[in-house]
Amino acid sequence: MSNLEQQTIDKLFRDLIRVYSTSATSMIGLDSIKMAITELVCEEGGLADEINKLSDSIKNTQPRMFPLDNLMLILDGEVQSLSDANQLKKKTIIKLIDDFKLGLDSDLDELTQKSLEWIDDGDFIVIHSIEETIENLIPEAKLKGKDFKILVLKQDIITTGKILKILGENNIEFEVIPEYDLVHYFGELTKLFLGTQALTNDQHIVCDPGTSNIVSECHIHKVPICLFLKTLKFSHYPASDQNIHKNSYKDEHKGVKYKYSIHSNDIIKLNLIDHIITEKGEVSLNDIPAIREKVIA
Amino acid sequence: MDYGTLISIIVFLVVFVAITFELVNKAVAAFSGVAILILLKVIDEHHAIKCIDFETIMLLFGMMIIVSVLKHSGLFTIVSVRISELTRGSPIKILILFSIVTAVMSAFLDNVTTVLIIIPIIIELTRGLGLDPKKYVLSQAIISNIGGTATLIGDPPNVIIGSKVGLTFNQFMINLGPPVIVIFIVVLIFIWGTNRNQFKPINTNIIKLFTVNLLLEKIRYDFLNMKIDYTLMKKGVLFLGIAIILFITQTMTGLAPGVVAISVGIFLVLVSGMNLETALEEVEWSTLMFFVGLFILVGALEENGVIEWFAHNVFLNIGDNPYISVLVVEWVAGIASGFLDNIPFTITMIPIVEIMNESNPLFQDLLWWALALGACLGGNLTIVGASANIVSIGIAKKYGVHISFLEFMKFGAVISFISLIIASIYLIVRVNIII
Repeated sequence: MSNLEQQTIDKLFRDLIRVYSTSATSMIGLDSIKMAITELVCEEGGLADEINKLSDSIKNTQPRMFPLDNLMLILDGEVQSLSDANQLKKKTIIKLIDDFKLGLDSDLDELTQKSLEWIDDGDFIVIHSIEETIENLIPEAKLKGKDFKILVLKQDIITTGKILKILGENNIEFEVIPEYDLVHYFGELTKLFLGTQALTNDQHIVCDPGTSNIVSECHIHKVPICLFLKTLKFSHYPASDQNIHKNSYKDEHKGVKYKYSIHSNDIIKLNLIDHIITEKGEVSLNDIPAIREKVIA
Repeated sequence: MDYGTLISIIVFLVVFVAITFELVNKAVAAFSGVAILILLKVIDEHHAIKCIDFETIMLLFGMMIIVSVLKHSGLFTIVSVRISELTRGSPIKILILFSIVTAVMSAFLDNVTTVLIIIPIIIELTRGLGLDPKKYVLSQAIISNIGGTATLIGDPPNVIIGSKVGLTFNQFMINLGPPVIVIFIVVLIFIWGTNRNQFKPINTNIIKLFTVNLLLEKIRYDFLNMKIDYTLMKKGVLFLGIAIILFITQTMTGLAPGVVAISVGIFLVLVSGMNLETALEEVEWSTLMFFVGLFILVGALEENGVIEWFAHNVFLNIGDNPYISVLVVEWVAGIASGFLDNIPFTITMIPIVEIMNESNPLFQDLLWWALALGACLGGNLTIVGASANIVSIGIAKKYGVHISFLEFMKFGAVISFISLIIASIYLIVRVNIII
């Protein structure tokens, strides 16, 4: 596979996670794998190599895409055993991917249900980027009749635009402020809700750019920080190996030329988080290694 | 040569140069010329108004309103996204399906609107697949000019010829449709044949197949994020259909295309409830002013006998061999339209062709078809040959795809010559039938 092809996939994933949660992006990824395998024309016996090629590419994206990364590890194992048994067929793999999708859906439902208890009447909750909390939990809580208000920290127009669309469509009361204005709200805020793209094996979380500052500020002001994630986002890699993408380009302002750089994600220490909520309920830091092992077992 | 003739020629040439080299805004150039002619009393304001072909202006204005409503409804974006989905990332399907959509849209709507919608999507799609978007951008710009050649409302030269000469929508379709279809097919085969490595199937490459699906999702989000107004879309399509039916039945209804376009356009605004100001935002006022100014400038040349002199001393000097006359009109129009703006050129050529027709009635309408084919197809010769080319290259640049004048010409000139040769064969066959 060429560098250009990998870069294209990386960029597409980065673009998609600006407007969809990682769960929704993973669903799109799984559908894309399914379509690719369905339409692929290859020699008999060549299917395993092709799937491995695709799996390697997905596991090497910048940044790593979870839960897709973990699902690819499971897929690798299945492909290997089916191939060894000479039973590798497109149909079998497509069935496996459908099972992944069902699993993701069911995990998401569980996560949403388990997370609902973390919203109380009268809450004033800060949110920042598109994640499951925005796409599923908050609309569901509204449906259940909970009375709460959202403070949206403005990012780029695409991401914030999508958040506003979801909140508006679900008749959720909200206020929008720039990130740097957060300090004026600490007397009123009751919680910070976060999603993540991955929880690394060295106890960090990978979040959208800008999240780190917000977490730090909320931590200092003792605003409870709740992290919602599926256990499939428990990564087997350390933070340094999450393939965080650095984009640099030359810019100019009134004749002054400079290099402008931006990273695709923030890395945040897990010990700043007060509550980690998964589809299995709230988990402690000590539970995480054992759950991680089970994820791809 | 008298004072009036000399001034009208000088003003016309200066305006023509200013337009061709884009020294100033086209409409400003044309109206400045008109102002000079009126101030210097070469032509008076009452006669200037009489020179304007309001039929052409009404047709353009009406179609611009219909396009404006359809554009606001999101129809073009939906069509483009659905076509992207249909291609499933296959390079050859991208070329063929987008070309069909571009050609059809250009035949019934204006070319610039067509490329404004098509080019961004085709760049996203091809670049996302690791293909070079240049060939696709070039092909769509060129196809839009070819598609526009087929109908009375497809390209400004046709609008002008149809309105000024009184040729009907059906006559355009019947006489120009067949050669345009042949040209379209031959050009697509040529593009495919000369760039075969660009159009290899992707179904053996799992990475590309995977990428296509991610890409289509991104395109869906990016382009369908706008509000789609299905009610407005249905009304817009219905009224466009009514306009086309009225164009086709012109000989029965006796309604001129300009009357049809402006009536349907304004009734569409009425029925759709769309804010008139919003609908008028999409009307290209400067283009309409440009047309008005040019009609007056050419009217002044006619008034002073310049056109008649030119027709007699240049075009009628080539003799009365119908083959030569038809081919000369086609190729002069073709080559001139490649380097000059084909709108003023067509407006200038109309009285010349009228004189040629009068001197040899044997031509029937063939000279008009030769002029239309030449003026429309010649637009592919260079970037400046047609508005759709300039707009396509401009959009491509915004998306980081740089196409130089020479790059365009290398591609466009060959296709333009192929198109003109096919058109010549068609015209020769038609002359043969008449004789």
